[in-house]
Amino acid sequence: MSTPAPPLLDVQHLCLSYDGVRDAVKDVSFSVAAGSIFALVGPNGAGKTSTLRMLATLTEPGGGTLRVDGLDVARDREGVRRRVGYLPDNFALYDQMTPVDYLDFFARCHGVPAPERARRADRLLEELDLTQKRSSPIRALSRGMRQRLGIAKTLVHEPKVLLLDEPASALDPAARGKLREVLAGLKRRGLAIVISSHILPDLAGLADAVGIMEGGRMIRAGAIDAIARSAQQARTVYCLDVGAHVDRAARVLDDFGPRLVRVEHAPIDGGARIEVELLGGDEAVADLVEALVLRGVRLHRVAPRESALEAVYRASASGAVA
Amino acid sequence: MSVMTAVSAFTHRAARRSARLSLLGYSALLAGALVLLASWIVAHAEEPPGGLCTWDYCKQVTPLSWSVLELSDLGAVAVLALGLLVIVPALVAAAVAAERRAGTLDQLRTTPLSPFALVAGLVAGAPARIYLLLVGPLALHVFCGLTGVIPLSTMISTTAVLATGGLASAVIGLSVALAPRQETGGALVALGVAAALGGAALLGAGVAGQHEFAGWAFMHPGGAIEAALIGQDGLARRLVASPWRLDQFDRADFVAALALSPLLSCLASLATVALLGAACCRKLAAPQAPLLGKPQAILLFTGVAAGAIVPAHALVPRPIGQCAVGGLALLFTALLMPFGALLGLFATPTFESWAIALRRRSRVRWWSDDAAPHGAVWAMAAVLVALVVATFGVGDSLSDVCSYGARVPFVLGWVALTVASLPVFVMFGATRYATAAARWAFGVATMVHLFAQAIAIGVAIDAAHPRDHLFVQIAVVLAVAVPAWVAFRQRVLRCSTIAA
Repeated sequence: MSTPAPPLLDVQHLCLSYDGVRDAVKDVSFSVAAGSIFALVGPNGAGKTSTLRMLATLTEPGGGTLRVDGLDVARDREGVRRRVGYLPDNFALYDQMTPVDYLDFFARCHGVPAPERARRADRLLEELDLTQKRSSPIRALSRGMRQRLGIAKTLVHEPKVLLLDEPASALDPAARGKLREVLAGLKRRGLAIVISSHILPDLAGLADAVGIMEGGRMIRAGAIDAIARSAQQARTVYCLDVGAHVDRAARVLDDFGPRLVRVEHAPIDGGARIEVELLGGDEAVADLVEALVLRGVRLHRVAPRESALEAVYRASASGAVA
Repeated sequence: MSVMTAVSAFTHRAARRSARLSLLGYSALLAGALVLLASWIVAHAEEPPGGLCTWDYCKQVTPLSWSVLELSDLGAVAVLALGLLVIVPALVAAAVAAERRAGTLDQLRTTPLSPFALVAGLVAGAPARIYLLLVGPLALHVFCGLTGVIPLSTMISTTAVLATGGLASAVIGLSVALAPRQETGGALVALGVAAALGGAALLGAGVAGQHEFAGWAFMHPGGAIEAALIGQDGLARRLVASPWRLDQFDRADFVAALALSPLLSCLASLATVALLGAACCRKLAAPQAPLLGKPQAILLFTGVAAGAIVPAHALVPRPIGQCAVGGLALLFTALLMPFGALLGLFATPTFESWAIALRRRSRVRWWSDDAAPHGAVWAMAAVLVALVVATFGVGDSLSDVCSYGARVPFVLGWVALTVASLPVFVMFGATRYATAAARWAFGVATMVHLFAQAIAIGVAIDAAHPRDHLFVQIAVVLAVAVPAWVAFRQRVLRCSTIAA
């Protein structure tokens, strides 16, 4: 029987305070295995960026331990830096350089040998769809391209752990889609990836585990499926398009009982949409749909309003999931 | 990660291989232009009548044979000095400020490059374009030295001063850009560095040609270069020294001061590089820490103060008139203590570090990064007093000062109080205000207060009955009341910080 591989990134009881009173990060623990994505979610000011900066060796932790590929950050900072790629939220680019020169410069800084530098730059530019812009000034690139170039920079020394701080903020939908493709590819290559974001749809379907931060604390962390199940057991928000049968549907909802927490009506083309928040997860939804159909309500569409990740976040933030 | 890796990366970033050849070509053109300009000047200088020979200096020079190469060499040295002592540090400061603003400095800190390698890369590699442009003038200068156009010793000493001085200036530029808590405007920082170093170079060059002040020439590489050039009887001396003061070159003490300046300058530059280089390394390793440790600040102050005070004894002709020593001591205090306060500011913790130390309630030693700067600034004041007494002697100092009679204790006490209050302002400015604008405003208000105090002290020294003077009375009250109020506000801040 084989023992499971140790996680590439292991964070235990991480703490940070900038002024000795307010904790930017307090007792945060999580681990990330190779080939998986850990989503660090939470509102602005939750401590996500502070956590990532400590992981990237930019800020000295106030307490706790950080291990990357078995190396303790406090003891072998240089070794950790060789294994970690960090992309800040502003991408940190040299506007006057070209993408190929930018990658070459950071490859040199990481001590990548000369023959390998050009090969890696070409490969990364191709993988991230930037080959056509390889000799354009970085200032002329779109925000999506700048973000992909930033990711290419973090990969130039072939790290094992990737830290991305709000990579999708202010990107258009096409660029976000491209980012998802890139991240999925990196995950398949076996990188351990930590992404911080407060835009949950960007991470839905991509992250394997989630850590929800609020006020510097990790209020919930674990495999996303497990948390999602428990969250959905607690509360689920569904959208029901009921066409013209609004009144009939309203009567069914009135009779549905205490499992119905909240109802909101919104007019749409050709009828009405009802948003319901239910206790009891999928079973409660099935019961409600059955009741509506039996009372002659024609349902045009039944869909969850939010992704599993959003449900987890909402439930955790409201304290519905212990 | 080796220093060479960093230097190579930064050099390549600043000037790619293809650009290097072009820059070397421009550099050769620059050297050629210097020779052509020298030829034109020499041709006109030797053209009688009129031309440049109507100029007073040329009347002195005419008896010498003008040499095109010697004049080109002077031009080359001037270009090298301008490039290395003014433009390079400004460029380094601008580059680092821009890196901070763009967030790329943090990216560099995530690479395996050590802080020392980063400092080396930023200083040696980032201004690579300027270095390459200066290759031509440097080659011209070396050629003139090797072919006997100028003495070989002059070429060696000027080159050494340029190399060490350039390095020190670049490290100063780097320190200035790293020192502020928030990044500041790159262009503004670069302009400030260029203006300050350019002004210092002109001042240094100005004092080298005057036998009374030549002892201070080593304080800036510009002065040491001029000392090396005019130390030999050649075109440089005839062009730079006032025609009616050529006889001063017969004075043994002046000649010795000129001869010693390049060596002292190299040593001073290397010491500056060591101290400020270490400061930059610690700032890159821990950006939340102040630029200077307390011992570093005191060492830096001691070096600068010794360089400023000691030559006053060794090289200024004796006897100094009565009261001159007391006046000099006050002058040195007025010049050096604001510099000491500035160093103290660079060694003062941010509010956050200070607050963490307070809330831990552990005992903070005065030399700790989290400690208030009082101990360091007072130590600097003690160093200043020690240097003045050691340079001029206790007897001389006291007897001169004693000529002020009964005012002595009053004036000395007042000066001591003003100096002692400096760290109170430094600490409050660093910890009380969150924004750069507020800190600047407080700094300007403090400067106005100190300037008024300096004027009032001057009035007190000159006035027959200073205590009857209304301005002096008000200033004395303010000398006590203002620092007391600031200290009280600091106390309130301290209590509220602990209680938070």
